[in-house]
Amino acid sequence: MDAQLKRGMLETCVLAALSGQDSYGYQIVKEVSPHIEITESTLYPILRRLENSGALEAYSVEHQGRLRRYYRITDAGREQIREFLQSKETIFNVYRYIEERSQG
Amino acid sequence: MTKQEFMEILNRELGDIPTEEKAQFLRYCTEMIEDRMEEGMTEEEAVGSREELDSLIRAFREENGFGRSGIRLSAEQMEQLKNLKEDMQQLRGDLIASAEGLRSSAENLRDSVTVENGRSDVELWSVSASQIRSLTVDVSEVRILFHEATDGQITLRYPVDPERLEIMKSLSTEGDMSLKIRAKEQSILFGAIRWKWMRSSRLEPLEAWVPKDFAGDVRLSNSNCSINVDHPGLPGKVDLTSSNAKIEFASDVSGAGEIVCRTSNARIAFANLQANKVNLRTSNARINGGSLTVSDTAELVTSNARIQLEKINAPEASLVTNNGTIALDHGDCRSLTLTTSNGSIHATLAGNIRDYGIESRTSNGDNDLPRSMPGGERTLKATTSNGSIRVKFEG
Repeated sequence: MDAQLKRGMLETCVLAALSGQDSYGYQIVKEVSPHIEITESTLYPILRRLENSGALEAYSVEHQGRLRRYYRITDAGREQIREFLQSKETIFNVYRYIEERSQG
Repeated sequence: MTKQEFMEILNRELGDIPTEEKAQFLRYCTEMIEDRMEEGMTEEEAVGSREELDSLIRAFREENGFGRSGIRLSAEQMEQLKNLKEDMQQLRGDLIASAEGLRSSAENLRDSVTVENGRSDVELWSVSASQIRSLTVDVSEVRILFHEATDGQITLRYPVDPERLEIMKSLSTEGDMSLKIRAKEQSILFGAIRWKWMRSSRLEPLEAWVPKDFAGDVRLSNSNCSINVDHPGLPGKVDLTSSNAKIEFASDVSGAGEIVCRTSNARIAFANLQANKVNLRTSNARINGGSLTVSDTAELVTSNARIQLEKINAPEASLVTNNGTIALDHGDCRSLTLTTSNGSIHATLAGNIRDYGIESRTSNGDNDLPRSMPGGERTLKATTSNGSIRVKFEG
């Protein structure tokens, strides 16, 4: 898959995973990996980027005697998901066009 | 690989990454390993292979723009690096040059400042006028006396009082000589009320001596204290600014370049001024002059007070006030504008009335002039209200 396209999809998948409830790194990988290839090493930069852009916030919670970092989606993050979904039709049209032309 | 080994490798491989950035990444990795182990993986499984670790390091570096160690730079990057080095060298050279300039200015400054014999409350700063391009003096609450120097030096004599005055001197390599004196605010506490004031009593005046042939600009400004000029005139621009205090020319000025005087609530007075260009402005006080001869333009502006001139000779002159009289004993101008309100205009002008194109207007007063008369080489505009216009022609 195209790297840029994948990057956008991964970011939105991570945001989607956080839409229902706050979560932590390992849990996010488990949740998202059945749908798109993601590992802990690819997740870290995505989390950093989303945190820096204000799409999510992080906080630490004590868990079995250690600290675990949780992530929470912000309004800006939800807006990012909305924008991604809005482009769905455009993307489908482009795919259909490419498909038709390449098969013809 | 154990967790301990994993962490050691990670720590070593990211040795060049800023501490906080690295610490945050190590915390993330630790949390991942611990979460995996909590799910039932062994330590070795949770840590993963060396390849996985390498890919983790690579992803982190690339994402944060730190580059991979041991990688060769592209030709373009080499070029950028070379340009950057050259820029740094250039900057270093510029910094050294400007530091040297500053040091030599500081040395000049130190050498040129002396203390008058037996006086601890005044200081003298003297620099050869040939080294100076402009002189700026900006003082508060201190009188200014401006004199002619006959020793080729520009000299400033000014009060010194570390408790009451803050003094800033500078002499740029281009020859801009500047002195600023600020009065420090004094205060005293009366119960809950702090009484603030600035003491100006008994301070020595600032005196400036400038040679007559100094061609640079001179700017002298103060506030709430007078400016007294006892100088025969400079070919450049002299800008005198005060407030709430008079500006006075104690002796005749001739062959001057441009003279600008600004004050407020106090008069401007001169006996004989001869310059290329003159601009005198005050408010709520008189402008009082003897003879004014100008080769370019003369502008005299005040308010709520009279303008009185014995004589004016200028291609273009305007005398503007309100609530005050304009009195001109002799005027010889190609273009003359006299404007006031609630005051009369009295003038005697060179030439015949037919030499002038005239516009005049008053209300509630006698008017010697036609309201509008075309023609003539000269123009005269006289405007007032509630006052008479009395103009005579010598021709």
